[in-house]
Amino acid sequence: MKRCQHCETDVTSRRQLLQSSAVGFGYLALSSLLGQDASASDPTNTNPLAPKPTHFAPRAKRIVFLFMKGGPSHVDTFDPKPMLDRDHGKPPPFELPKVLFAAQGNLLKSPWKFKQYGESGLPVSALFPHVAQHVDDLCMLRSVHGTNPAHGGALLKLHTGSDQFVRPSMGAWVTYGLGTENQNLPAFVTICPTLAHGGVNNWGSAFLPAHCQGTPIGNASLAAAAAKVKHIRNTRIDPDLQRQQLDLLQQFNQQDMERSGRDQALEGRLNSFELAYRMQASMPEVQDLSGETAATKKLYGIDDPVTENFGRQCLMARRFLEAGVRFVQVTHSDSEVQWDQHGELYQGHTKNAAEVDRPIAGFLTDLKERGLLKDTLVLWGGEFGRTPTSQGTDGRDHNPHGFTMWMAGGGVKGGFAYGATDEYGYYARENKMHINDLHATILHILGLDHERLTFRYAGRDFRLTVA
Amino acid sequence: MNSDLVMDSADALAETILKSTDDLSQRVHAVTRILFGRDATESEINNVARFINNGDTDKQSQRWSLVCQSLMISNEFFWIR
Repeated sequence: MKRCQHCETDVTSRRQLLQSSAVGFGYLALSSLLGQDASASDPTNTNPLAPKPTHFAPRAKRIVFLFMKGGPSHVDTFDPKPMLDRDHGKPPPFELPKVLFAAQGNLLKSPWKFKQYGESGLPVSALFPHVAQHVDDLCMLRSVHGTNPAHGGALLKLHTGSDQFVRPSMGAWVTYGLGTENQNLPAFVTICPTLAHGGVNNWGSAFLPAHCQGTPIGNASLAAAAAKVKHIRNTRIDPDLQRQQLDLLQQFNQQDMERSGRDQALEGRLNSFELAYRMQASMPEVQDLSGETAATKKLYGIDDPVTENFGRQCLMARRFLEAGVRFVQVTHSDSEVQWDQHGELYQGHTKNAAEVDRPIAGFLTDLKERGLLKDTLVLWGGEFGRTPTSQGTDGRDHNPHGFTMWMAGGGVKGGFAYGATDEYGYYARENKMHINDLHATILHILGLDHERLTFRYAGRDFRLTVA
Repeated sequence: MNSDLVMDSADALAETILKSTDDLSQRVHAVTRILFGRDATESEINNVARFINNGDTDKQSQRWSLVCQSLMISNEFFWIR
């Protein structure tokens, strides 16, 4: 259809043609593809981000995910293996998985000593002395498994539930199910995310409504101090004039919608502009750490160059959580390998733990002191663990078959370890927790039944814990 | 909404429109023909008129730029029909 720049009359649009033609089945298919869900077709619901009722009483109202990119080794941090120490240097007396990322050598003992902490006596290695002070609040999940042997697949599986198809991220599902408390901020924020290994899909909304996607603040290759939402301020006009402009835009969009029919994607766009406008006022304030006390900054390690970057991210996360953001992700990643110690396990993990141990402990203390921890779910972990067998002389390979994540906060049993790996820490063995189970647990704590939180798309009901 | 690319493009389009005619209705028709391939409706002309006349007379070219920007980020321009 050629655009007519000088005609007096309208050019027929393709949508009009399909609608008016005798063979209108194309239009029918289009409507079903757009997937009308209950809230979108509800004429009284004008704001898709408004808080929604849960399926049952929630134990937590918000969630923060501290994502350690690269795969921290569980046998060197939270899952001690005395037999691994004993049999150091020997070939593994068990069968290795059929699919391996790389060739593996003999058993490699942990270079770090484990100690018991708190009243619960949960063991933590020398890598995390500050986090160890919080063991009585932590629930160790020692039998997590089922991501993928490679980073890309593993990140996607961890974040979206699938390593094969484009699916909405955890944060998008949570937003879809719960809405948000603060209408001036996005429901889902991801701080300094990695752009690699799935990139935007790890915080995307896929087929869920667009407002469910995460808003990235900075990225992993930028210093946290420089992490801001892009184009947050309009340098050319004042907010009042901008409001008038936005009203004009919405008038055009409303009339366009009346002409072409109500449509989820079109409405999504209307709403995202309104949110963007409101964010201009609220976002800079939340991101601004200058009002925090010196004592708070010290708590998060912002006074020390080693912990400053991650400390800033955690402090920003606390501010977003306080302000009502539903799902906050903090990523520990840089433009190199981060926790992925295929070699130099000792040097690499020492450096990584030193960057996050004090900030995470400070973050937990701060959440507790502000009364936030009791209804915030905190999740810590990476996309997989590492092998008890060596890679080269001094490294460990990827291990998605058995690894540790921990939870704290609302709905979580502190000072407790759930599940176990085998004697060497290779495979999850007792009370195995597949990544789908982890997702179901997260949704459950937030008051959502993972089998009832569905979205109709392409003719069937999808959910986060998809088969 | 706030990126330099969008705002500069809107400025350029506005300049073209303002040069082509002094009549407000014709200006609105020109924008919708360029961006959407159709004439403006009466209600759209009224909306734009209200927006333009809401400001000082010496700030009008800025307001026309904002009109162009708004239509360039509108759904009708954004999605191919």
